Amino acid sequence: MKHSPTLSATSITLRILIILNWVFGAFVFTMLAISFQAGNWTWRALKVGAVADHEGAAAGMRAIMVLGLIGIPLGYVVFSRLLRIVESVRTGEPFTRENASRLRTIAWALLGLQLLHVVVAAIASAVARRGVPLRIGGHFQVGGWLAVLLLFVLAQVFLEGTRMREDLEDTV
Amino acid sequence: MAIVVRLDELLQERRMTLTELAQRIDMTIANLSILKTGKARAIRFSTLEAICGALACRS
Repeated sequence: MKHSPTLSATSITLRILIILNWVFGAFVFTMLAISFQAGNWTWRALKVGAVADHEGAAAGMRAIMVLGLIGIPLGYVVFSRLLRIVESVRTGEPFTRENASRLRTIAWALLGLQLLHVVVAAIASAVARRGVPLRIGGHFQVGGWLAVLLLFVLAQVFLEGTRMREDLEDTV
Repeated sequence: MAIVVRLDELLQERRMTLTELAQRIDMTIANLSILKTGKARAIRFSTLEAICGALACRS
């Protein structure tokens, strides 16, 4: 087991992020449920109070919340797989077929999150057009899409690395 | 063309054990076993040369 401070810090951070991800999911789910009972209070609590005054905007907000909930398991996939990769680096065996597969899974999950981001931004933009200021989703960012591409490439690199390691292990 | 490893036969002909061969060519028994059982994917020229030298193979 390698005792690298960076790896230890990353491992702890990822464990915290996994918990925070579920906590955030529970929060969104609770707010979504409450919004059906006390819409005005929910929107004010989320600091989007003006939304309640516009027809359809509340539905848009609820749609964003549902999309947020869909993002929770995707986030879990990213954090949990990354944690396993970090653990494998700590045990000194990063070039494995499992890690290549994990990286590919992370890439797909991140792609899903990016697509969710686009849909959320589109809904927020549609709501904002009705005169309600809503800053959710943000601007288009190249970084996220680039990360998806990099992860797919990295997964392939890991697969090649694994093949090379296996060849080397069986060379006498 | 299939490559057949005849290390077992050669060791018997030379009346040598795998442990003795491993000691002579400074190689681990584990690695020699991999070669003997045909599980090796590749062999280094240096290993081949050492084995051939120890077993007095034709060069």
